[in-house]
Amino acid sequence: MRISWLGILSYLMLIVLILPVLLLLYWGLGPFYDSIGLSLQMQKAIILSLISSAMAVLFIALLFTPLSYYLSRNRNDVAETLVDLPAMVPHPVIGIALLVFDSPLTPTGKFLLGIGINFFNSLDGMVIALIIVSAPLYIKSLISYFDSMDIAPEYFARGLGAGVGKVFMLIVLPRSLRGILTASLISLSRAMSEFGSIAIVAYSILNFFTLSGSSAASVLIYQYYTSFGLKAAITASAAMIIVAIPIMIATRILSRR
Amino acid sequence: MKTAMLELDLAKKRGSFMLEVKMKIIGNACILGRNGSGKSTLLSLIAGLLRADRGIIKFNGRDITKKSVEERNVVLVTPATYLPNLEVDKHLLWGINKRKIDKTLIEDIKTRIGINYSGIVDRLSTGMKIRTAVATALLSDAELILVDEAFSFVDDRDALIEKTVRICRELNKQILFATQDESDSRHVEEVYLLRDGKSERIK
Repeated sequence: MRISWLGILSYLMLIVLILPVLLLLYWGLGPFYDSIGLSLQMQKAIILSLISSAMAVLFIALLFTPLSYYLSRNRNDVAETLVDLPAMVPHPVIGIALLVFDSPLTPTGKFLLGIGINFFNSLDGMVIALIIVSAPLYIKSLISYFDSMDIAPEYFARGLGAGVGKVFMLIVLPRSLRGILTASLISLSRAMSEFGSIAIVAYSILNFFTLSGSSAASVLIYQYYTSFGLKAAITASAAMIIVAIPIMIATRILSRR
Repeated sequence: MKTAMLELDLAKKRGSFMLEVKMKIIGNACILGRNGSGKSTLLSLIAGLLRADRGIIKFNGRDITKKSVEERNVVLVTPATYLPNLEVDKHLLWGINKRKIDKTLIEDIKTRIGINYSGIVDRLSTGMKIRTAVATALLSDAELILVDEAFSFVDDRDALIEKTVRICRELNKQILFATQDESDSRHVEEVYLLRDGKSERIK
């Protein structure tokens, strides 16, 4: 087999890309191991990250699957640019936007607080932030899935008198479970890795059963880094990487046709 | 019984190709033409999958030019038009929205079209999928059935065309199918030749 320079260069660049993360795994679980990085607090943070991300993805799938389908079948540059917006701005901006949205000083905030919805340091705020920052990736992924689908069955179903909504529910959705699952896992990875927006709107959660007082894993790693130094953060980061790996593998297996 | 009538006066540009047709089709008909003559474009325009640049489509006196696909009472059957996730028997009922389900009619059409199988449509052979799609269109509320290419993929092509056209007559539906084979013209009342985007009635 001839080895081309392009192949060598490509794999070299791949190593450059992942080397710091792989080495972090080695240092964090090996020479620089610090038990605080795997403490009960960190375990709770990882569980909180998993639960809040899973909740966000569930809402994303319910709310944005129709939009993804609609945009795939009715191309609209303005709408697609707007979908990208939350992913384009620095993520702390989303956190600040949510704080303003739910502030007692604004009409929207007065309304939300009036019906008992408080974003600040609450699970609600965390999940909303994760929905907003992770939905663009879900929608993008699902639009390209719907784009790749053969459209002839849909026209046939409509020609036989069924409306677009009925066709979506009974013909398109049953054939899209794999695409929905893949897009969900991609946005789950994205939600798990979110830091900027939740560091502002939900630095720690005050209203979630035994997890009250916990922060999301990304936020806790930052806390460890600022209060206990690099060593504690290294082990905590390694733990986070290990949690992310199965999700990545599942996404890869599912997206392979 | 009133004979169905399809009136077309359409123009559509696709790249350097220009389709420009004026037809008044009464009863069942076929469109004869080689590859690239514009048959598929024409059928897609009638079904509402494409929009004409200008012109008008009238079906039984009703202007359907601006109607959406589901409002036209027109269905296009091609080798790719089947509902993959449905069972055959459910598939056959898909187009029945306004009428009562007539079990004897369903059995009759199943027998005549040759549907002696069941299962999820996606797992059937191409020929079986096409029979299912044709039977579904015949049983549906659609009053105009367009067929593009589909007949070419079944082993008893000639017999299937003949049966389909006869059932259309019985059910008071109109059929318009595209073909490259001139001998198909004996099954229908009218034949149009499509060449370089222009149509000419030859029967």
